[in-house]
Amino acid sequence: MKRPDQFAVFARYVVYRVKSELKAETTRSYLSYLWWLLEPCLMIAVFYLVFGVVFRRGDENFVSFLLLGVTAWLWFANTLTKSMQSVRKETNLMLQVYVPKYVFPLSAIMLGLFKQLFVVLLLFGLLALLEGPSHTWMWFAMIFLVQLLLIAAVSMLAAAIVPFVPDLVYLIPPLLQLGMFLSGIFYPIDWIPAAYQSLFRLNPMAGLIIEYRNVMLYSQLPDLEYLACVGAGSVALLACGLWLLVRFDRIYPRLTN
Amino acid sequence: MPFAHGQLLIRARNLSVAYTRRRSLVRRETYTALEDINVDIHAGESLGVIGRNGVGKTTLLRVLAQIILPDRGTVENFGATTAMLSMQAGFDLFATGQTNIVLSGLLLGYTEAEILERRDDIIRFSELGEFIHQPLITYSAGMRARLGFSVCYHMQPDILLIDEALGAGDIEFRRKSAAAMREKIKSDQTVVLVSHDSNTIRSLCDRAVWIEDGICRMEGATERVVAAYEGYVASHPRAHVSFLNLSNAT
Repeated sequence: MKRPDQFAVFARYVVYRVKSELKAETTRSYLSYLWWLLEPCLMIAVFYLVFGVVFRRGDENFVSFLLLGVTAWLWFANTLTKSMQSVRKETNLMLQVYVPKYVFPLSAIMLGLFKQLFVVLLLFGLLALLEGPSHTWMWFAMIFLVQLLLIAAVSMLAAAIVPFVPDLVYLIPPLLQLGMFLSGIFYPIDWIPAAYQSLFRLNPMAGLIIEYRNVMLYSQLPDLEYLACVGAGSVALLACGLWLLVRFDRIYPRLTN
Repeated sequence: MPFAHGQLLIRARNLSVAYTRRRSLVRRETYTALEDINVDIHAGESLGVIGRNGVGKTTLLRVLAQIILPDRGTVENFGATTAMLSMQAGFDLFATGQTNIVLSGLLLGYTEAEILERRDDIIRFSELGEFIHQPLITYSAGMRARLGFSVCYHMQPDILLIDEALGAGDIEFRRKSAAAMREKIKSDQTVVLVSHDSNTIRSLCDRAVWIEDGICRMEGATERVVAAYEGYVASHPRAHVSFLNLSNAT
């Protein structure tokens, strides 16, 4: 048997695993792939109904406004939800054959990324239709990349810590709920009292959603300094998560929590 | 086989493993699974690990495979891949049998092309027929075990770790798979076989290690070790498993 280096072995495994999970997802609901698009659409419908119709808030481009907030938020929340248990759930597998533990959150991150690329294609189509394209759209890619780093960092860290503190499984969903309300998905930053606006932007998801809207709706350039800060912070956090996963690589299968 | 017969593949020294169980927020108890064990594994040999249930045999396999880290001691692996037999490792219940063959093979270090070369043999051996195109969730436990065995049998690692059962599945398949595995063990395959059954060890292993309560009681030629084990089991009633003991006491 040939002995290729470990990273190549597990990179192949991750790619195949993501492909097979994508395929398997289609068989697990009647509308299969359509849910990638229906999920954000339904969330937008809820916010539109509550804030646009009932409370009569929101500008004339409220749908586009919601579209950018909801798609960015769902990518973050769904990937984190899937990643946090990814190592803990695989005890059975890791007791039978050695697998580096970063493989599990990495699969979840790649799966989420693939779906999001699909969603983004549609997002661009809809925004072109609703708002008309703008030259600042090219900055979208940069914000997207920073968000990917942020998602990877938080996901790796959660996957690394949850096996030690399984109680987090109950804590993360309400925190995500809080994060959703504090990320300005359905309201602009002007709703926040001026004194608290800089505090609000400390939440990287809130800041990134503002940047998405600036480049996609308001033809403004992104705040590069802010993006660099979020990117650097994410890289540092990602390093922490990976370090934990490597450090406790052969401890995770022993945990009996 | 890339290794010369008799070449040292794994050297394990002074292995100790203790499991900690949390009984409440602050109270913990430890349970010693292995204490100061030394094992060498050479290419082509069949090493038997004999001992009663709950004495740390499975833990030893996991440490040797470098799946878990021992609390003390070292395991050196000189480049051999290891995996458990009858593993249904990496099986995704919602993917088809075909896909799962590839997933398992990739985990064992094979490329997709190498796996596809062996796929027909695997499917034939597993006797799953058309079911191979169905998701695993539709399989019975026996069918899953048949697939797991067939994959591992055709794409075995350099060192095969066998925990108790040689075969898998229903009686008929169990007989066939155990026979195939016996053939394989007697050939040049390197095996570590764990069992409480002295006949299995006696018929298949060149060398044996006897473990009792996490301690290596004896190591050497199979016949001598197995005879000592049998004598001990006949004269000693089963010791209580420590975990049960402790939970009764607290």
